Amino acid sequence: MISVLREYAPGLELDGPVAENNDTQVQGMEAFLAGVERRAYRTAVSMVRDTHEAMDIVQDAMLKLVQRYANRPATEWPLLFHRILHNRIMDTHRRRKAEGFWVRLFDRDAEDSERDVVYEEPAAPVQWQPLAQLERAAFATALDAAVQNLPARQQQAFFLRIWEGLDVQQTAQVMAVSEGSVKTHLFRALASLRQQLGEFQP
Amino acid sequence: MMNKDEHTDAAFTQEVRAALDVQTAGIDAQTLTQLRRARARAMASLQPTGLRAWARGRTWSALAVTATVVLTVSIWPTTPPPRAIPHAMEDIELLAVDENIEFYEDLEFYTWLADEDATVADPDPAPRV
Repeated sequence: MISVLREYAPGLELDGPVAENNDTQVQGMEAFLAGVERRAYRTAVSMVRDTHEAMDIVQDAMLKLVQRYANRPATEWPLLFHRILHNRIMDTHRRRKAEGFWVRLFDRDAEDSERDVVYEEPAAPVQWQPLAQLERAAFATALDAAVQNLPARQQQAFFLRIWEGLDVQQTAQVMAVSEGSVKTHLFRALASLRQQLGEFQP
Repeated sequence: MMNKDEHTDAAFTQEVRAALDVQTAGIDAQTLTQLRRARARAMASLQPTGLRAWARGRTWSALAVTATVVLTVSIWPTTPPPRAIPHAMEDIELLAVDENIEFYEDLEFYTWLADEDATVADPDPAPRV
């Protein structure tokens, strides 16, 4: 992420506050958003299962980041953006639950979606064998379905840790849970995915 | 990325990440256009020096002018002040006249005396037939 900022806005001050209406700030923010928008959209689609709503969520997140945090140091943008994005996604989940339409669909989330789960020491998984080139497309499709079957909190931990590359502490900040809870959610998510995608292993 | 403490499988997560990247790279052109527009809208809100700043400045100017006008109208005198200057001019004329000031102090007396003299001069004029 930082490398993206350096590439598109070499003059941008990454660690200090940014002066308002600075051209470098504008370039830096634009480069940052261009770098995260696709993954943000893909994450939102997986978590809310609606392309239109996912687009609205990403747009709101970008708008809020620009309006409220553009003058913050650029190194803070990724964490702030993901916090806004995931708050918005979780708001959508809660709203749907309140409306009752998705209650049955999201019932499995009730177990560990809202509360901070206790950290459990997981057992070491069996080593995954790399896939053959031809299997990769089918794997991507199966992964998409498998991720959608995860509870919302596990999806969050999965996307933030595995795809966005945030560390445990940053992920805990975005999810507003303890670091132990992040580890547990992630472990459960990966265990579930491995189980669902087991057909791809010999 | 992952460490031993989390007991995650690097090979599996690497495979997963690659699959997610492939899916993201395959986002259709229409969606990419929508994302670009969304980004442009967000970036447009970052430039308050442009039209928004101008409009904000104009709004404050208009408010200031309106407040001034209201204040001026509210304190503007609706009745003219008493005309003190003509009286002052009369006093100056009195002082400037080269007459005895006592004459003016007894002016009513002299007026009455003049009326009495006229009456004495013609006490009961008979009507002419």
